[in-house]
This record gives sequence, C-alpha cells and structure tokens, in this order.
Amino acid sequence: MPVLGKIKLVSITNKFILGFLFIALLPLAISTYISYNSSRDALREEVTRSLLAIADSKINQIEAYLNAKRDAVEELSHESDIADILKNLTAAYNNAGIESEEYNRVMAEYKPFLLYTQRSLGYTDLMLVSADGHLVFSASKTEPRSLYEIALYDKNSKLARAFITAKESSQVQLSDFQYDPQRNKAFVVIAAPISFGSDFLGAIVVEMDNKRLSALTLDYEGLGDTGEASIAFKEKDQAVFITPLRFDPRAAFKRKIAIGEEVGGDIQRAVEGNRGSGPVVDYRGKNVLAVWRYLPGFRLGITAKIDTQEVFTAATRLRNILLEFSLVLLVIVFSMAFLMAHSIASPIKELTRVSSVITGGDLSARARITTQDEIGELAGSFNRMTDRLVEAKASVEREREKLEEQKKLLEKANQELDSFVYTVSHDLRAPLRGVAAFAHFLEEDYLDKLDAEGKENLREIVKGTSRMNLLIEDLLTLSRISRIQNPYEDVDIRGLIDSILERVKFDIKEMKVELNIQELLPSVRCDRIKMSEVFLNLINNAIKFSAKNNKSNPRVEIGYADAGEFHQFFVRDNGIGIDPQYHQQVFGIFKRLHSSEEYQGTGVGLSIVQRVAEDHGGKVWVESELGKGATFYFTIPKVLPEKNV
Amino acid sequence: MAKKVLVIDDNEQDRKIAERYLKKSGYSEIVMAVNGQEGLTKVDSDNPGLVILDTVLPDTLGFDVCRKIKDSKGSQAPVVIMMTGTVDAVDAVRARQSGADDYCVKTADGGPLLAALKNLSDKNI
Repeated sequence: MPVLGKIKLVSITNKFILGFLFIALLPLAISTYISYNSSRDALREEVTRSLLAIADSKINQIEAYLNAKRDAVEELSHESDIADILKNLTAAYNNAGIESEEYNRVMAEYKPFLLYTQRSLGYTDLMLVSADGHLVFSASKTEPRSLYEIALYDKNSKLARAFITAKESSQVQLSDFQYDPQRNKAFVVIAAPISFGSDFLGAIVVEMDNKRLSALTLDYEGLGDTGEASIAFKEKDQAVFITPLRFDPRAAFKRKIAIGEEVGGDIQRAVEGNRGSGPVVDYRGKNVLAVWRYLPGFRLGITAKIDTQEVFTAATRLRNILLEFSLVLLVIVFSMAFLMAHSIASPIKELTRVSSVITGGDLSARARITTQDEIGELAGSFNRMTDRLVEAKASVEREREKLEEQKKLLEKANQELDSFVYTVSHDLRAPLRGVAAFAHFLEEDYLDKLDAEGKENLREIVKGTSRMNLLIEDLLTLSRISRIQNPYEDVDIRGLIDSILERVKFDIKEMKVELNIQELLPSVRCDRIKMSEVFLNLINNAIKFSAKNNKSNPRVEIGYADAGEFHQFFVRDNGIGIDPQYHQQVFGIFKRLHSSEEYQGTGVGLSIVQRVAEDHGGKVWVESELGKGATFYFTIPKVLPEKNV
Repeated sequence: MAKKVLVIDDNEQDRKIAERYLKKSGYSEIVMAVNGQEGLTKVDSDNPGLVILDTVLPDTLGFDVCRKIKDSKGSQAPVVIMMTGTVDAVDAVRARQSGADDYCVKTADGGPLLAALKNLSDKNI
C-alpha cells in the first residue's frame, strides 16, 4: 500500500499530530455541522415565531386603536346629550340659518363641550350632521352645502360617503384613509348615525389623522435592525402605504405597489385580504421573512417583516462562534498532540543521538531521560547496556593488553633464547676448534708412536669433535634464520635447486639416487639464503632416507603446485617413511627418530625448514606412512606479509 | 719466504694453531700480539711482511686495526689476512673495506688459512 509506505516516512511527531487531528476534528466537524444546522433551523423558527408575535401585537395594537376610535364615535352617537345638541342645533340651523342670532346663541352654548370632546378623544375634527346632510357643527370647517349635494358633485368625498352609508346602514361607518395634499396629512372619516326612537336625527362624524398609526409602526422594538411593520389599503389595483416606512420615511400615500408586482409581496397579500407568513420579496426588493394580515373592518392590510439576512446573521454569528470554538479546539488539540508527540519523540531522538554517538566510538555518552514511563525504562536499560559495553570493552582491552604483554615476553624470551643459542654456539667453537686442531696435530705428529688402542681413542676424539662441530654449525644456522632478515627478492627456484644439487652432487652420485625435478618451477619472492636452506635440508634428508631404505632404487622427486594464494612445493622420497604419530615431532629441534649411527645429521634441518616457511607466512607438513616413503610439503605466500625488522 | 709474520689474536690456542700452519707453509719468523694495541706497536717495531689478524680483539675490532695498519704504512704496509671464528658473509665484506688482502675462517684443519697463504705465494707477494 503506497499510503502506508508514505506513513512510514512520517516522523512520530507528525503522526501524533495527524492522529490527534483526525480523532479530534472528525467528531468536532460532524457535531459542529449538526449543531449548526439544527441551531440555524431553530433560530429561524425562533425568529419567525418572535416576528409573528411582534407582528400580531402590532396588528392588535393597530386594530385596538382603530376599534377604540370607532367605538368612541359609536358611543357618542348613542348619548342623549349629543342627540339633544344635534336636535337643537339642527332646529336653530333650519330656523334661522348659520348666520343667525339664534344659531350663534345655541352654538355658543354647546361649542365648548363639543370641542372638549373632540380634543379629549384625539380627533382632528368633530362634526354634527343633520338628517338632510347639513353640517350643523364642525370644529374646524364650515360647509354651507349639504353632504348630499357634495356627494352629487364629489363621488370621492369620504365625508359624504361615510355619512350616507352610515345613514343607510344605520351603523358606524369608516372611510378609507385619504391624503390631503394641502395639509400634508392623511385622514380617515368615521360616521355614526344618531337616532331618537325610530327617527333619524343625523350623524356624528369625526376626522382622524394617521399620526398615531405612524407612531405605532415606527416603534421597531423587537424587530432588530431591519424589521418593521407597515400598513396599507387597497386603492384600485394598488396597495397604498399609509404610514412612513423604515427605509422610506416619506412613503405614506406616496409609495404604492401594484398588485402583481414582483416586489412587496407581503403587502400585496395583506391588502388582498390574505393572512399568512413566509419568505417574500419586500418593497425594497429584498428577501424578507414576513407576516401579513388583513383587517376587514378597516380594509387595511398590515405586514411585519425582517430581512432574511438578519435572521441568518444570527445563524452566521452562531456558525462563526462554532468555527472560532473549533479553531481554539484545533489549536488545543494541535498543542496537545505536539506536546505528547514531543514527550515521546524527544526521548527517542535523544536515544538515537546517544546511540549514534556511541556507535561513533564515544562510550561515555548516556541518554539523559528521567521520565518514569516505558521510554524512561528503555533509556535506563539502554544506559545499562552501554555501561556493560564499556565494562566488556575494558575487560577485552585488559585481556588484549595481557596478551600483548605475554606476546612481548614470549618474543623477548625467544630472542634471548636465539641470542643464547648463538652466543653459546659461537663461544663453544673456539675451544672445540682447539680440541680438534690439537687432536689433529697429535694424529699428524704422534700416530706412529701410539698403539692400536691409542689410535682408536684418538680417532674417537676426532670423530666427537667433528660431530660437535656439525651440531654447532647447525645451531648457528638455525639461530641465524631467526636473527638475520635478508631482503626479499624474486628467486628462480629452478636455479636455486640447481645450485644446491651442485653442493650435494657427490652424495647423489655416490648413492645412485634417481632425481626427478618438475619441469616448470616458478619464480618466488622470498629470502634467497633461507630458501636455499629449506631446499638443502629437504633434499639432503630425502637423499639420505631414500638411499638408506631403498639401496637398489633410491628416488627423490621435487615438485610444485599452485595453491591459490600460496606457492606449494614438495620433496618426495621413497625411503622408510614416518609413522603418522611422529608427523608433528619431526619438525622439533634435535628431534631424531633414528640414531645418528643409522642416519647422519643433527636433527636441526626440519626445524630450519619450519622456521623459514613460517617466517615467510607459510607452513610445512609431511605426508607419509611407515615404509612407503615421505613427502614434505611447504607453502610460501604469493603476497608476503610485512617484515617487522 | 723470509717474511716476518705478526699474528694478532687474543686466543692462545688459535695463535698456536696459526703458528703451526704458518710454519708448515714456510714462514719461520713469527711474532705474536694478544690485542690491537700490542699488534699496532709490533707492526711498527718488528716491521712484519704479513699480518694474521683476528676480527674480534679484547680492546678493539680487527677491522679497525687493519685500517690503521694500512693507513699508517701506506705502500709500505704489510699484507693483512683477517681470520674469523664466525662464518658470516658480512665480515668478509667489512674486511675488504678495511683494506685486508684476504679473509678466511678459522678451522681445526687450517684449510682456509693454508689456501689463503698459498694464494699469497702464488701471487708472489
């Protein structure tokens, strides 16, 4: 899996951070998403509900206000005082006219009461209309014409229409709002019929402006930054606002929305007599959440709305809070992951550092980790292991030093022994020479004067001295092999053998030895003088033993084999052979398997061979069986070891 | 053959052995010295025609004595044969370098010395 392969390359710290982030963030993201969604829906519902409540309360306020104004008029119409006043004023108006003394006298009597009533109830005008439609009292205007007359000329006169409708229906009537451009005010007219028994006396009519309604709609409490209530009525195919709007303070009677237009869906629905709520596009063309109602008694549509954006602002705020919370949590998780990873990875890094220092050879380094956890234990056992390593190394070092010391002692002892052998041999020579020389002189000068036994004794002296001389010469040769290091040179082995054969040709001829020498012998890098000692001793031995054992057909063979890194030579005879149990001993100094009577020689020859071979880094061994001849092998490395001269 | 011979050797037996072989070779007048100093003195006083000189002497090395004899006498210097009890090729080279006329090994039968003396007489020195 390539992903797993990549994970292997990630450091522990990063693994921890990734792991923590995954573990912490996945649930966090899911829970945040769920809580955001549910909160958003809940919030939307909540906003809608509170909007509905505010809209309801606004609508109720408006309705209550309008009802109160209408009810007040209706109540006035049922008051007997008002009926009396209307009767009296109508009588005076009809009897003497509006300019008359009588009318003015009656008017003066009732005017303060009527004006007080008008002001206390908050009407802009209060009028009393006689049964035939004449304004017998008005707080602010004079109208000589009958309202019937007005209705003939002005069909749109709210006053006339309200009066006539009220009279005909015998009920309180409310006109639509009407804008008076001259006064820059909107008015509504309320007319209530006044009867006395079954007699229709006339009507009380009031005019009321939209000030109070505007105040109601201008109260934005609970509507946030964009919410508002608006009131409109339907005129022809248009919805006409009668109050200022939050975003259009001059909207009253100026702003109109055609039914079917794309904007102002809420107010269109309200003036059309619908009741409902939902998302719509308002008069500004903005998406809003709106509630709409219709007041049939007043033919007014009312809406309350708030921008969708604001509703969602709360949800957005919630989302931002959640995101901030997530971010803080992320930082905490990240820090925790980092701290935990650090607490695990840094001891591991420390261990790695220390172990690489130790690998580099500095065993004094120790992991500095003091925690009590598993990593602390690991560091502890790592440090103990290093201690052990130091101890082991020290003990190996001590052993090595001991060995080195022993080696030096051995070398020294060997040198001393060689030196001793040399000195002794050398110092023995002079007296021996004296013995031999004077025995010789004795032989020369007095042999005739000795009897047979004397001659025999003298001969034994001479024999003993010459044997001892041989021994000393061999010992000196042996010690010289160790003592003297000649420079290595390339030696033609065939030439070397030929020069040796020259020295022993007498023996070969005398003993009739058949000699076989391998045709192709290599040139070998070695100490020429020592190498000639090797061949001399081996050839001498071979001649001696083959001739002794096999008088009819003594045979000596010299050969070579390439043994990889070594040159391997052998000298073979068909002599008496050597019992395998003596194969090691034959190379020991003065080791003779036979008496010197049988075979001449001192027993130093094979020691010399062994010393030379080993001195060159090679070895020597024998293959033989008793009675079947012997083959002596020796090897010389093709690449010689360095001499420590 | 009436040459006077000086034998310089600390070993009495070796001196006697040498004396015998010298006489055998016809040298009758033989003078002895037991160390280098005495040898040099006798070279001056006795004026020998031949010096038999050991390589190892108690007070000095035979090579040094040989060098001194040859240096002090120049063309009048006696013939010098160096003798040694060891068998070492290096000694022969040193003897030549010291100006010795010949070099031989001490043996009981006196073979090398006799050969060297014969060699001298052949050259008629």
